[in-house]
Amino acid sequence: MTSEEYGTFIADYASLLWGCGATCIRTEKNVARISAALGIDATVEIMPRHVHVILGDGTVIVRKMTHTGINFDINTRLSRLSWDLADSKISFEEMRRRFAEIAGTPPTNRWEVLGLTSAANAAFCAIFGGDIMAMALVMIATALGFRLKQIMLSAGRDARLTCLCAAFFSATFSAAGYIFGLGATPEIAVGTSVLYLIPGVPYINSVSDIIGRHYLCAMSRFLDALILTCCLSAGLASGLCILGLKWF
Amino acid sequence: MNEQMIRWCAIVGILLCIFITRCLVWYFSHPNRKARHSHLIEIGKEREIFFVPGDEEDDDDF
Repeated sequence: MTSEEYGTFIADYASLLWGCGATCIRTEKNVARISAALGIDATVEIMPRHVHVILGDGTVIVRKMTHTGINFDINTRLSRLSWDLADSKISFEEMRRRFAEIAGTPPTNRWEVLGLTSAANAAFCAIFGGDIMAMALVMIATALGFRLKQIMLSAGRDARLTCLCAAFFSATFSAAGYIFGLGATPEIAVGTSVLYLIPGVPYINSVSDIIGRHYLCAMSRFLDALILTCCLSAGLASGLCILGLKWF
Repeated sequence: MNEQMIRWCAIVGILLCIFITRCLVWYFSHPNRKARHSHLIEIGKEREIFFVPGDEEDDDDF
């Protein structure tokens, strides 16, 4: 094996790890662990859209960031893979085989995600004081909005437009409590109906990246999350405006 | 029915139309929809439900 082959693998590894929602600190640590285990001198430079691996002999390997969506299963398995190599439990060949297996992991069943997201958002409604009718409305509103999001994203629509449309329809549907007089907490149903669209992981990761002094990645993630939040707010506000709900 | 109710019904109706249209498009454009029909209850093997890559082929059951 040449150091270039090792470097290429490390670049692919870092790209997938970052793409599935790992912070820059974790990516750097894992790459350092793998480099040490392989006995090569490799430095990783993480940019918002690319990862550069610089080898000791000056070779630079560049990879585009892989965007698999947030997936903590892949994240955990990739970290474990680096530890298995560091603990000499597996060879580099075995590591490459396992990496290909992890990279080919199919996404979680969309209906399962839809059901769990709806239930989680209904639980959020309960946490904020919503009654059982508000929870039911939020659950249905989330299911409808999330399904629309899945359809639009699978059709290749822009993520920001998707977020706006999903927020608009979820907010409108959940306003049924106010319009038809269902339940005692219609305002909580409307407020919590769009919470499933909040990009929480990018916000948390951006703070972690700031702590790790990866300011470019931190700003990139923060702005991405902020724009999605603005689209969400625009969808919510337009839904309330069209229905003529003057709560603010 | 007041104006708010009409607006709400119109918006939710649009959303439902999107879902129904998509279902119909999928149903009529799918060539093997009859072949994909599956029974609610059927007898199968354990490996059809839970398969781990690397499992040995075991065809000696019958």
